[in-house]
Amino acid sequence: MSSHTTASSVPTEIWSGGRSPYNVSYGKLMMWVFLLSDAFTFSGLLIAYGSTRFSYGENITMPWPRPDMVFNHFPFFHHIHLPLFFVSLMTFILIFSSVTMVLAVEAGQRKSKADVSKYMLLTILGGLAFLSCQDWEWSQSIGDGARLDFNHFSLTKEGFEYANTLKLGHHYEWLDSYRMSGPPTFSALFFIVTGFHGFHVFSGVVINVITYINNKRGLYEKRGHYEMIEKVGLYWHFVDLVWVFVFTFFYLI
Amino acid sequence: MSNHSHDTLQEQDETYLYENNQEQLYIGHSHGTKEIWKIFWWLGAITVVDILFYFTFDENMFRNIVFIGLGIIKAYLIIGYFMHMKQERTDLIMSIILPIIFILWGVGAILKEGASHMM
Repeated sequence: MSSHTTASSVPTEIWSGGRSPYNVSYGKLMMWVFLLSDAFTFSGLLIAYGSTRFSYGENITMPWPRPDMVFNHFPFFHHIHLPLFFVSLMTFILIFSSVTMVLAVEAGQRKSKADVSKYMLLTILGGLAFLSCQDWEWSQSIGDGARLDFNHFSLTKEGFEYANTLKLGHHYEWLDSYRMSGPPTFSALFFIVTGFHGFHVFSGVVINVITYINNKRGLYEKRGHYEMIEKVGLYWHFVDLVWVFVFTFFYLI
Repeated sequence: MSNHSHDTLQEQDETYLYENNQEQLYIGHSHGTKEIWKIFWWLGAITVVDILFYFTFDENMFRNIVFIGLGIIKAYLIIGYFMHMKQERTDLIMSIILPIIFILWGVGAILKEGASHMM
């Protein structure tokens, strides 16, 4: 409208073109839009989990497995009952890597190339640590017999009584009579949702490595601003946020 | 690409900022790291509360609502402060948050549907 007549020619009409309506760059806005669409995708999976899980109610022929009886292992503590300890550790690792990521963004705002490198490296290490933990978790489940279409996690009546006797930190042993075939959707959803999320973590680590290398090469210093760190940070925080909800839905509810 | 070739040099500079090189819109001001660590401790504390609730309460609807509520608080902290959403324009915030509220309604609705035909 007024873009050709005055000296300060940034159009004041917000949605009439010639300017960014939200005062953010195209890259950052599109990252937000992508994250919104990814949120819909993950929500679809979590809604499927919730709907299936809730439809089991008081079903006793094939009860829904109890997460604290399935995920009670911890590295180097063989057969010690530590329910949800390992997955809590994974949550803390990812939250901590989110903190180092936002510290990298803050370092970019100060235009400190060295600090950006330091915090990006810590974030990458945090992401790799999370992926290693997820790998260990998967191998434990697969070792327990879980597959995409089968698992042995439901508790029989005997198993239920045994589970009630288990105390935190004590040795446990699952006899054959304690467990029976569980709903196939339990393990299917476990692998698919944590796998899909793990794939996001992996691609996030790849993007972080590329950004780290670019920063070391001085690309952002030359460009004059570190907005790429912030855009990449948005993706990483989204990955962390999804994990918070996966943790809540799969392990707590 | 550039359809403003007849502009004066100054006008070309201004619209170039908004159409071609939008990254110049990014004026990142550092706010220090204290707030970041404060949010980290809050997130850790809420996660610990989550776990405590899991072990002290039986499986019931109240506990589930607490979990989802705490999850939403964590999401608010991460989106608002780590993703700097609070520093963005209100209309950008609304463009992202309102669809998320619809998702949350969808979650609630479909959980109810799932519970209505128990096996």
